[in-house]
Amino acid sequence: MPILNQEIHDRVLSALDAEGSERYTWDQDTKIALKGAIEILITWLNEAFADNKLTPESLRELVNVKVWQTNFYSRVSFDASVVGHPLWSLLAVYPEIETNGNPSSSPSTNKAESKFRPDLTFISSLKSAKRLTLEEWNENSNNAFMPGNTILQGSIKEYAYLDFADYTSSNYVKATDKLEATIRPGVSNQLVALAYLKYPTMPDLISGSIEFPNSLTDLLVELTLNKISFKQGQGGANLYGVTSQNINRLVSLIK
Amino acid sequence: MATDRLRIIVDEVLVTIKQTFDDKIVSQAQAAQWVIFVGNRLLSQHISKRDSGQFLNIFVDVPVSVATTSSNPNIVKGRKYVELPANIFDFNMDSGVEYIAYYNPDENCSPEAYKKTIQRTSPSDLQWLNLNDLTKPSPKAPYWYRAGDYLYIVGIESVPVKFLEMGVYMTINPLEEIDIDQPFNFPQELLEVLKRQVVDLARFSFLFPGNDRSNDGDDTASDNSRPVGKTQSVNDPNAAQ
Repeated sequence: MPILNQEIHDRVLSALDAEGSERYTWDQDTKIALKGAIEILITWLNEAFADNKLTPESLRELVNVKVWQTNFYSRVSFDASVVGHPLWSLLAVYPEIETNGNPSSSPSTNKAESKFRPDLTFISSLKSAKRLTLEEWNENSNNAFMPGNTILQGSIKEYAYLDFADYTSSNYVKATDKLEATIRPGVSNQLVALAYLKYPTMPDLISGSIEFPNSLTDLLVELTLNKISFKQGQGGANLYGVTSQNINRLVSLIK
Repeated sequence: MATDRLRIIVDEVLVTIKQTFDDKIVSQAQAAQWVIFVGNRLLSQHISKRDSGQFLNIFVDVPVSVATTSSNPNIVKGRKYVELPANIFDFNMDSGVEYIAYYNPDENCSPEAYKKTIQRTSPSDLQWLNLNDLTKPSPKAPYWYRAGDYLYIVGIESVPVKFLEMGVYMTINPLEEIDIDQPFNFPQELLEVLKRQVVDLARFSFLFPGNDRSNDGDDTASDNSRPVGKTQSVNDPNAAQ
């Protein structure tokens, strides 16, 4: 269940002892600070993902599994304008999938274009693609014992994917999103499913909600208050000091 | 007769060595390769020891060819030969081939009822066989000898034989051709030995230092944590030095 914006705002006002006053408002204070708090939390969570310390179950409100039809070159692009939300992180790529609808569809006339298939629901697959680095992608191609090799066929083959990159050229033109993930062994014009985290929707109206689990409510409140405290300048704090501290904290996470 | 699929054996090994998580370092293909390595050795020993048809594979209509040009190695112009239809065990005296036979359609007999078995020989023995009228290669006394993947047939040069029937002892298919969802034809009583020896191979691969096995972006891996296998003396500890 997502966290209600109203809940965050109420707790922030309570901590500031400003209930009933108009000293701090949603539009001018809490919303802006909450956006910053969410971005800080996303940076922390990215680091936790990188260290394998966080499972997607902790963010189940943001986990999606959708179906795409790859392009001629076994690539798939995530077009946020078509899917309806931006991508945060790719969790898994499933080739050879079973869906609940009619999978037939003619491939795009433009060989570079993949298709988002909102008419299909992912049901199951026996395969997952392993994520490879840019260097592993080439070196593993002829190594029968590494995922993504092109040596083994049939039931023993193992898929791999290469994370999103821009491959466009004057002969490889895409209308919208240019970033594509590649899957190997090739699944040209076939259906694949992507399991991914959608980027959390930023707060706008106070009647809205944030797609984080309820257990993160207090952390978000504290981070929001931390942002608001910038403006207060209490305890000898000045803008340079508090931003430097925050910058150091964030940089240490990505170093 | 139903036997386990190769997948069952491979997956059981992967579970035993705890390689079932998403970042596992031993792939299904690698475990299958180990099973093939060990399986071929055990299977060859088993076939050598037992007079059994359990692992005999018969191929019919194996085409007889005549090379029009020579090609190194092993293709000799003008000689009749057949190509082995599968990988076979290299037993002593070419006994990976149990038999080769042909039938003569001119004799109006069905191939099952009237076969002429072709005897195995070697190129050097052929010299001696040619010296005696009773052993000289002929349609009634044909011979074969092996050169790599080709079996040359001697004595039927003047007979229009187009196909042969062969009984061979096949190795387990190589990894690139194997289908792990097909039944794994292997002596059931040796499955336990197979698993133990495959797990031994797996343990050997785990002896390499963990730092060298992970892509941590650091090329200064130390071998402090390298596990060392137990060294055991082959000498009698009670014997005087």
